[in-house]
Amino acid sequence: MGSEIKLSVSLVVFNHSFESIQALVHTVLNLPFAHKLFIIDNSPTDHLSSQLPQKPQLQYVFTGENLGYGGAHNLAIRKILNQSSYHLVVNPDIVFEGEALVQMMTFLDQSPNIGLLMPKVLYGSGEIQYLCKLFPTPFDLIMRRFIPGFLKNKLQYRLNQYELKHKDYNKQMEVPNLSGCFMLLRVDVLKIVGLFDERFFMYLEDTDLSRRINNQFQTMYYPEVSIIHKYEKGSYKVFKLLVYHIQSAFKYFNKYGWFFDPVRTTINGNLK
Amino acid sequence: MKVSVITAVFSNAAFIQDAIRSVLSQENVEIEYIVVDGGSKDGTVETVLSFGDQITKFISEPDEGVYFAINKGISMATGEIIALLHSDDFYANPWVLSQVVEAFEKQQCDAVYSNLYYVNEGNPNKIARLWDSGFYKKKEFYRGWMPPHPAFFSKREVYEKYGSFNTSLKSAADYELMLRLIFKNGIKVHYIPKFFVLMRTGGASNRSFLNRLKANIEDRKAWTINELKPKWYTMLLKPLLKLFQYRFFNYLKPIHSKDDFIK
Repeated sequence: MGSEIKLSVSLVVFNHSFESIQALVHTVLNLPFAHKLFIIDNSPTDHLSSQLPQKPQLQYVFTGENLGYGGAHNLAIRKILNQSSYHLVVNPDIVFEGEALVQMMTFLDQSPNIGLLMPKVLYGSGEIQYLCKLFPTPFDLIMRRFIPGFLKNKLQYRLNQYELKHKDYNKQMEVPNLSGCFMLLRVDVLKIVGLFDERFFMYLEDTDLSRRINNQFQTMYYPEVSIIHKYEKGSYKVFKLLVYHIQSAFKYFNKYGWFFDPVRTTINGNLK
Repeated sequence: MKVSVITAVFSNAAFIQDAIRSVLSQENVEIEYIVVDGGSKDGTVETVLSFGDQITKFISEPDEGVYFAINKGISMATGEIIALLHSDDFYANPWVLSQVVEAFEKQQCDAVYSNLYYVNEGNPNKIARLWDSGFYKKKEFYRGWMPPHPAFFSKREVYEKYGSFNTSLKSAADYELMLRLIFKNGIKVHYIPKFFVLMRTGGASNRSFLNRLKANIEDRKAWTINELKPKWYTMLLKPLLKLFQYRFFNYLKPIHSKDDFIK
């Protein structure tokens, strides 16, 4: 549990331009405590490396192949497992203020039983994103993606329930399934529950990790601070991403059960 | 709030270390650790003694079984909260008891319970079954429900008021206790839907049909000695509930690299 570094951050990029991550990199490098930023580049070329600022706290890792989202983050997490107290998994399309992160870490310092913390997430327009979710059922995932509009209206309550829209998003609450776009993790907890499951190439690896943390520790939603997420929802536009999404869904349900999942039944039942 | 953890052990030199280590590694919590040994001669006593004064109280003398020994431990305890951990079992992580204490502080309750994993004896990372306790409703007892006692943390005053294990029962002593405390006397329980305890497979009441039958007779006795009447289906459903606990393909941690299992 040695911790030379207070916080490490991993950012996984895939053909991202420097401009698109510049603000994020700048925020992290100006944090007022010991930190380390890993940029894991899954792209076919490493042209990004020449544009990055030369700072000792920044480590650029070019993978040379696409390791997937969880695999690439794991690469960074393995390096800091014995150095860092907290680890932030962050998407390239996030913008936040350093102060928000400081406040979250202070909160974690005071709450040793929390393993994962997610802030309030807003669209660029300031509108709230509903990223507090229940454990998914096959029905939830299929419905969200494939059910035609006229049926969707009738089933909207199920979708709303899945995204916990009936809960007050201005209040702290324990949520079983938190989004991977901004995960502040306690490193000691990762040592116990393990890192991302690399069988998930993309999608649902965050649900899986969140679930494993929730099995033993608290996974909290912390709306006292907010960040901005320029949401891409890629799998709704790009066919290849949709394929990854479906593959991950199969792996997830094979792992935890399709229709018979007692943990899901208990925890979701309590939140509905 | 001080927690008194009680481990009753008889000749279990193979696994008692894991149990002790998991208790001593608990963080952010004041612990009193009581180990009650039934007069083991296989090295268990030496193992316990090797932990020195980290074990607050230790006695070793022949006794009349595990629940008798736990009762002895409870009577020696001075903590506000009592936790029971068998020598085969261990806590899932070092923040289990601090989460239990937090629940006692935030909720108005007499007892807290959670889930447990049954794990493979040889490989504790492999989950054999899971016991998902579920939220308590009184009628659940009619369906054979009970919380697992290693994941049951209660205030000491509860045992002082309503008594501890009834040692006239063998396999159903834990069932009788839960029935008496929660169903009969209505103590307030709070459920934490997390897996706090890992239990090695192969308990006292499992296995052969004859044992199952004996256990069933004892389960019924647990109701009658409390002057309670089960529903006609209660005793049928109780063993069936166990069937739903089986899972065959679940590991505690994902295996993606050999190194990840070393820690």
